[in-house]
Amino acid sequence: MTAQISEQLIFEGQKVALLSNPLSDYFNLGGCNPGFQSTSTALWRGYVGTWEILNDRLYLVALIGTLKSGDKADLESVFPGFSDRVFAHWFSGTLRIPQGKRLEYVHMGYGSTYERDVLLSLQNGVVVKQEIRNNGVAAEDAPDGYSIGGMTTWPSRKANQGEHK
Amino acid sequence: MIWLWLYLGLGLIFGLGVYVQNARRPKSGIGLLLESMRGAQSRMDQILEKVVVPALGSILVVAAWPAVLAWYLNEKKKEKVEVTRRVEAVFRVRPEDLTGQTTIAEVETSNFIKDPLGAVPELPFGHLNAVWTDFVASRPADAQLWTFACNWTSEWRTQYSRNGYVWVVGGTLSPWMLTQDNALADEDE
Repeated sequence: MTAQISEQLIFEGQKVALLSNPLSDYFNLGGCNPGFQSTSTALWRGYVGTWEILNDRLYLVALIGTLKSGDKADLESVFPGFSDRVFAHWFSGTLRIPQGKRLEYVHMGYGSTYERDVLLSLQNGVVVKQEIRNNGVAAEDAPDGYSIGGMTTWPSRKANQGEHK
Repeated sequence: MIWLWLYLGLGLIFGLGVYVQNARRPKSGIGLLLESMRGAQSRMDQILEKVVVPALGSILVVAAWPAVLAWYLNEKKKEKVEVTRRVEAVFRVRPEDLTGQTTIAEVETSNFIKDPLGAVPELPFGHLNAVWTDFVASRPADAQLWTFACNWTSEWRTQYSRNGYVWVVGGTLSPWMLTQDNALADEDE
């Protein structure tokens, strides 16, 4: 396993790392998954979503990745007819936003810990609670912000052709 | 002295039973793969594999058969527990998970999604409307609609809190539809 590339969240006017995968919940609940192609050990899910909290609601506003067909993915690949914004009403749970310097690096999933976590609790896509969890104070030379270590990548492929793009 | 012979005799019978069982067991895929990867064996390796190891094993089984028998029974018990765990890890709604009877109309009213920015289809269950319509279409004859809530442990031992709807007819609780599926143990991931 490898530390995973985070999702992105536009939160209070800034783009920050989001260590939660709300789109996985959509697929788990039976939402149509077009099938993403993984091209890196740091991105097994095969896509990166950009999310936004606007008026206490969670929206998916962009999606990048490659489909198993070899085509580039966008919002309409998953939500036909919704090219700009999708309300994530299916999501009930906690969004984790890391802040500050890194306390401990874990080369698996979203396992690394940071000085603080902003935790947003959502019910049916609407923020119902916001809290900050303090995890400790990092060393002065610790890296700031979410980052991942090494990964293995490989080229994407067109389906049924075996061609490298 | 007779007790010793009796003990060793029982050990011999037990050892023969183990040998016959092993001889009749088909080779596993991984065993065949390792054998094909190993290539030609030296004479010494062949003697070790065909003579020394079986001889030492036989002596151990005959001499300490009660311990081997206890180990064997324990392994069988663990195997049975593992099979049960895997069967139970397949999700199904149980009668004790049912929380109340409802109707299609009630569900559609309470799950009608709206968004001020128009970022959702104005339909029951919004972007998941197709899941709902498929579920309604799968209704068995005379089935009643119920809500359910439960905790479920997957084969990978992750615990989930699950809510949803299920068709109930007689003692059959199926098919079901999930409306929430939250991992309890891996919340931070």
